[in-house]
Amino acid sequence: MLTRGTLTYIGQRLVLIAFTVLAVSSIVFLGIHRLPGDALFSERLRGQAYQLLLHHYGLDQPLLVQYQRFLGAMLHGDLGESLVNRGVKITPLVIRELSVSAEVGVVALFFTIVIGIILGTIAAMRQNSWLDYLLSSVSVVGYSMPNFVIASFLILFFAIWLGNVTGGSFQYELNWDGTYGTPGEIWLPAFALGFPYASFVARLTRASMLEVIRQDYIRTARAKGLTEQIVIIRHALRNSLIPVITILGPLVIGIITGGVVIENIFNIPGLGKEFAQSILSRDYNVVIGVFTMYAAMVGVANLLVDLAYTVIDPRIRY
Amino acid sequence: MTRSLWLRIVAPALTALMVASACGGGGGNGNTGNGGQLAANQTLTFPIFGDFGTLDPGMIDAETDSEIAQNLFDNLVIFDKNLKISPDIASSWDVSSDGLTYTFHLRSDVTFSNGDKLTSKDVLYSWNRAAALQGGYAGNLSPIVGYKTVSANTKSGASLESLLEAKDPSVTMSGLTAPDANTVVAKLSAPAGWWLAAIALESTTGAIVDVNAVKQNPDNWWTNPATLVGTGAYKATAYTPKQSIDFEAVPNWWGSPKPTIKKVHLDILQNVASGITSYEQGHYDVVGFGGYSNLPVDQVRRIQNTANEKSQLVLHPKVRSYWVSFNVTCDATRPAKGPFCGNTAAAKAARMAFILSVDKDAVVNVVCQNIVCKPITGGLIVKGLDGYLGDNQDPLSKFDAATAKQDLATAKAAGLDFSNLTYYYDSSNPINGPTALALQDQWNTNLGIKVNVQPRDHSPFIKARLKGSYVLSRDGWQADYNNPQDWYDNLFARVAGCPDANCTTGYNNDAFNTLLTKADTESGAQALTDYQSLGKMLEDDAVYIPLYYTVGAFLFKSYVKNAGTNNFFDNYWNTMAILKH
Amino acid sequence: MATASATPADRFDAVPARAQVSLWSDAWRRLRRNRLAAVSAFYLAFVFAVAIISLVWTPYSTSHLGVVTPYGGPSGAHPLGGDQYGRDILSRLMEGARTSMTVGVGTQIVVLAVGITVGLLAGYFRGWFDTVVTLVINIFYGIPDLLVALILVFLIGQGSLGTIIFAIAVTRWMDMARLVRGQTLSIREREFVEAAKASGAKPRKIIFGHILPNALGPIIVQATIGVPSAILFEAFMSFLGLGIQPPTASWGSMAADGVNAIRISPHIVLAPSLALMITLMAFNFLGDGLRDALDPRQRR
Repeated sequence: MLTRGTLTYIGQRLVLIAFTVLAVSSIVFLGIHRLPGDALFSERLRGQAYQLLLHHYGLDQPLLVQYQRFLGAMLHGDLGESLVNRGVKITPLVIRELSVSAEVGVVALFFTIVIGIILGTIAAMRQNSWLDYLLSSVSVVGYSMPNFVIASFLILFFAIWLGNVTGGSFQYELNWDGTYGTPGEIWLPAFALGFPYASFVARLTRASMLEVIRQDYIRTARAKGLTEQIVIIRHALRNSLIPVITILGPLVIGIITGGVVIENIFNIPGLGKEFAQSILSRDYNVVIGVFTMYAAMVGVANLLVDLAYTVIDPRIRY
Repeated sequence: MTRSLWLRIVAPALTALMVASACGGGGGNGNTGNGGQLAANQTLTFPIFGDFGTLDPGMIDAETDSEIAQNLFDNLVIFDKNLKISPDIASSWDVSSDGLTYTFHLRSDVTFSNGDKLTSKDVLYSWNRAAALQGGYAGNLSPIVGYKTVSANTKSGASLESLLEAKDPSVTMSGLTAPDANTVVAKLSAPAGWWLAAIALESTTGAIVDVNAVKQNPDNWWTNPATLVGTGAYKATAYTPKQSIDFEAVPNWWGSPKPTIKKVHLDILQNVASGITSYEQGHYDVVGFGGYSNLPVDQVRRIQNTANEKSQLVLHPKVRSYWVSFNVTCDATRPAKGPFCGNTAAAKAARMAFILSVDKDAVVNVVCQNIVCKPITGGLIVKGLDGYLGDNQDPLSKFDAATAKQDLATAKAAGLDFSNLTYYYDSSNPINGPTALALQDQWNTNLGIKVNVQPRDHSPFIKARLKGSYVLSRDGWQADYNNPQDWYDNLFARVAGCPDANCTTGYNNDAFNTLLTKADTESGAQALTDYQSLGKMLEDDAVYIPLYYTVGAFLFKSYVKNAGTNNFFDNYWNTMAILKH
Repeated sequence: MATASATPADRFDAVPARAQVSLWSDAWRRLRRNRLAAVSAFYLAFVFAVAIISLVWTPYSTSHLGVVTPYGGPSGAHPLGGDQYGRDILSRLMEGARTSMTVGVGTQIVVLAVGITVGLLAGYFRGWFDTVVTLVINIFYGIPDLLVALILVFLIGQGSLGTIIFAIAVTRWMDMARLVRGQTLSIREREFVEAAKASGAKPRKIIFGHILPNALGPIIVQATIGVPSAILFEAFMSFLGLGIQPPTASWGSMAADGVNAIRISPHIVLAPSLALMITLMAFNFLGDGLRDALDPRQRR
């Protein structure tokens, strides 16, 4: 599987990723530094202290010098220091938060695919029935409402209403202890994050299952006397997974961007929350650092998805 | 110390009165406890909704930083729970009759959390360092002789550190001396009745730091629990940036009351509504501490209407006023111009028109349901503080649409132009947006004038406002300590900081400046009278549109003993306890 | 779909005797018969009408605070109740329709302009231009879209409608460009294009006269389906504080504000959310219907 061709392909893609990351972070860096004002200035800071702070962050240098320092530091993996929360180093911060977001994102992806496949399978098996239309509509709802609305209602139901009704014995605990989430903490935000995209998976699954169901080998399997359920699950499902892989890239990106809002609502200390917060507080250094991380993450995710094709479908080669 | 009469009797009485009227009993104290039996686990857990800007007392200028840091650092003197200045590191002090020399006698048992003993040299180091850093509150040390020299310092970080340790003259205030290990003498360049309050200001430039800790990492010593060293009852044990921070009571702490709460855990959250839900589910003991008492009004309303939660809600006025500033100076130094500037009758009529056409009660109703903010009626200084002019004393807080229209006609007749006006505000505070909309609505409805509203990011907003670029802008101030000097010096005149830092209106006349300079050197009743006259001057000249002062909202579980707050700061952690629950 | 069984003669005759219809009228006929798409189209026309009406009239002024008791529930005078500042929700919903539609459709217009141009040129002329375009498209795909939009709004300056439309369009043009490029690549190989080239037609005539009309079907479908994501984007951006600035109402910003009051007055978030949901579903169903209708391989 790891042929010379594949390795070359991976190499090319990594170069592209590096180039993209560099280009993107440079654009953001230069764009931000043309903005008026900055996070450092405060009502009470007199001229002197302000100058001292500027000097500390190297912001009193000409733009080109700052850019050189920025590039040089980035190549060493140093993304600088936060402007708003002084003293906080950005690289360890974003790496830690990235792992938290990744944890939630993977579980969300799992929800998306599993729920989508279930919905799509049932819809295909009961094609054109009321169940088919109902399931299709439910999944489209997920995609037609802002995810913060869905998330808020989920919290309202699972954390608040359920707790009131059962006197506190059954409720979703809206609290994130520590850095990484326990299963009890993760399932609801992951569900809220993944569900909106389930409709895409459902639709694809339904379409490809319908095609596959008619094919000869299914008829052969039926003729052999296997029950319909087993027929479907064993043969049709495996082949239906391939089209799902084609949308894995957009799914991952959707989950990454959805995470910005979901992490905020559930108070999850991840990269999405950091992104939103740093933009709101105009913490430019962190914005650049987080964005750089995202660009790298998306590049790598896309590469992994493309490589996954070779595993699922051995005919594809690079 | 001669202001005791006012502070000891009147201020607390006013505070109690105001608090009692602001909420249905409960006052500044969240609970009465149940039975008084202590819980086995003495851990206090609460959320804060932003990570620290800094915990270095030399640089702290945000309430959200100081509310936490006040438990880690101490000053020579402290505000007690009645806001009276009391001994802290200094067990006593003498002031010379001319008010120029302060002699502090330090306790001999004060230790830092790393075991280092505190002596007078630590006070000199801390104050010189704070003056040299020129942080937001460096001005608190400005009366000391030699401050001017030190404030010109341009070094920071490790280079500043070496200068300080070498006692270099460029970073040493000549008026600050230590005759022996337990005595500190401060010579002032002029009498300053407000100075003791300024150095009592918790966790800012008056606070004492340990040179042995700071020098290990002069830039970021406070980010590492091992070097976050102070004399306070608590010290940091673990810090995960943007996520959480843990504190522990210092064993055998020198101060009092000795801490009952052994551990404090803070979660750094982003979403306030979800944080409150977590509190309701029992994950937090308190909400609103740490300077985050600006809970959203819809949550406050909901809790007020929830039978079993109502008693946990405490509303307590913060010493924060908001108003609208006009550009009142037409000279070449200020770009804004506009119809409100100048000493003419027409300009004043223009200002009065805009002032009287705003129905302040309607604004307060819409913006904060009259719950988390209250209309200003007695001048800009908040009720309960020295310098308050009295209920309903401020003619600018009236609503009189008819007179407003007449004033507008007068102004227009003199040729003033009201087209294309814009009201600018700072978008970082969620209350500013709806306030802007409400103001726009009021001026449109009652005057027929369409004013644009423009949000700006915080720092461009401040910068532009200080340059005098705004004809109409939102303005506000939170008191640092109970002294009108804090307000007037920072807001309204060419004294101690204007025009480069703090003047937003360009208001400047000789009478005001002279009286302010005089008042700053006085103390006691004389100072108060003069400060009140200054307030009246602002009213007579129609310099602002008073809006509201904010009320903080706190949630305290009933099992947290002595959870509470005063106008200025949260109760210290070492005065609280967790009861059995 | 199998038609009802007929005599062998019918089957023989059916195909050649089928009346000549253009793709468009065929599509129109099929679309009309798709009930879901038809209902959606009517609903969207209604929303557009409301949006246009809101330019001149709403029941109450949308910038008048305090006309209703803040957080007030639905009542006779205010069928949808009041929001947290006491503004009439129905009036704001109407203005929101206008804003959200402008964002959605405006974004697609920009996307169409850029995507079609780039896709046509890259697909037809190929060569270095195509290589560059493909590279650029791949780079843009490598960046999470919402984040780019947020950064753009952040850099350009707060929420004017134009800024937001531009920011969203920047993250969306690639889909259209890639689609048009693909269409161009396949259409240009067809016989009638070869014929046109052989008879000396200029590239401009070929591109706009032959290729573009044939690609129009998928383009329309893509544009329709692209509207919902643009409108949702704006909602996300409003939630994070970088969307439409007050006092302008958009469904997204109304929902974002209303979420905070969800426990005391759920109607504040429900009205714009339901409006969003139904409208976006309508766009999706219409897009699906268009796709089915414009698929020339369908014989029904």
